[in-house]
Amino acid sequence: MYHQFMEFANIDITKGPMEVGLRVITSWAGYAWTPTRAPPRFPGSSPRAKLREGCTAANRLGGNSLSDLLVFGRRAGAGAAAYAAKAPAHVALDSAQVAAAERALLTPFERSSGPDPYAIHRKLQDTMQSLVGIFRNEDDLERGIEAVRRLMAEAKTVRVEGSRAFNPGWHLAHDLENMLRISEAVARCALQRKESRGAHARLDYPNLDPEFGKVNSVVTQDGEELRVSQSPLPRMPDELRSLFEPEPAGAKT
Amino acid sequence: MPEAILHVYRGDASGGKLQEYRVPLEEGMVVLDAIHHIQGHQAPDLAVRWNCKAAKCGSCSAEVNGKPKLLCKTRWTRSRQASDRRPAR
Repeated sequence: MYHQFMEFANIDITKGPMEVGLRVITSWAGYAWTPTRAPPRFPGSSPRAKLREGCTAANRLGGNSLSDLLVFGRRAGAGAAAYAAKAPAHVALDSAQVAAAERALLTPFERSSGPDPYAIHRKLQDTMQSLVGIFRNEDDLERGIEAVRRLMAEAKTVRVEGSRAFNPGWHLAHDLENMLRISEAVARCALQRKESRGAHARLDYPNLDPEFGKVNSVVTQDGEELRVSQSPLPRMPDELRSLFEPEPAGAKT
Repeated sequence: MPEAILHVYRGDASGGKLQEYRVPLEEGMVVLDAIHHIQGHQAPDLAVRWNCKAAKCGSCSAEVNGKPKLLCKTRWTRSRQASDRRPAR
């Protein structure tokens, strides 16, 4: 750390203060769907992805992303390989879906006016930093959700300049929709979780609520609307459970 | 506010040229910060490869004033006021 601060910013952290900021390094969320309820719409992906849900929890703030990558990367890769070995040589694509995706991607180039994707990105960062940070309350979260939804409307009018080759503004215009959707999901989950747990600190609900400790939040998208429901936390398998010492009574989190 | 003046090589397979940009100069700024400022405020189609911002991964290798550098650790104060920045060869 000493070397890094000296090298990058000419700050001697043994003599003066250093600036500390927050950064999202990984998102503790999984992707859940039930393949029996609908035909798989994503050839090659595997229902094993559901296992990601509920694996990490509020009290482990750092270092999880690497083990996630290794464990779930391997599982997803193995699942995809098994699928590919059995799959027909050519997967039939829905040409209407392909055309719609192409249209959506190219439309921002055709607009003669509209906001710059980077400007919307900065507004999203400011909104999430000020209203959906670690310390939250109901009022801020509701304002945050409204602000993100306004930005989503703005993002649909975004204008892109330049060519299609290596154009980061174009990529951002595409990524914005996902960023905005995830931001709204984060804010909505935070709003309904009326307790404080790990890095989720509700100033209006400062205590742990054991009932919330038994559930995951599940976000479902229906058109433009996001809905939050709860699903019971998966039970840890016995072979794993046996590796953990029982927690002393009254331990935090 | 003091400005940094950069000459950034822009082009494609058919060729290219240096283009001048001015960005606000901030204390401790590195060349990658200046490039990102241009991207975010003046030229959203300006491509730059980068990843770790900690001089470990090498993605942001480029020529700064004719010398191979990592954009993320080349501090502005150590460079000349007007700076050429080209992709690494």
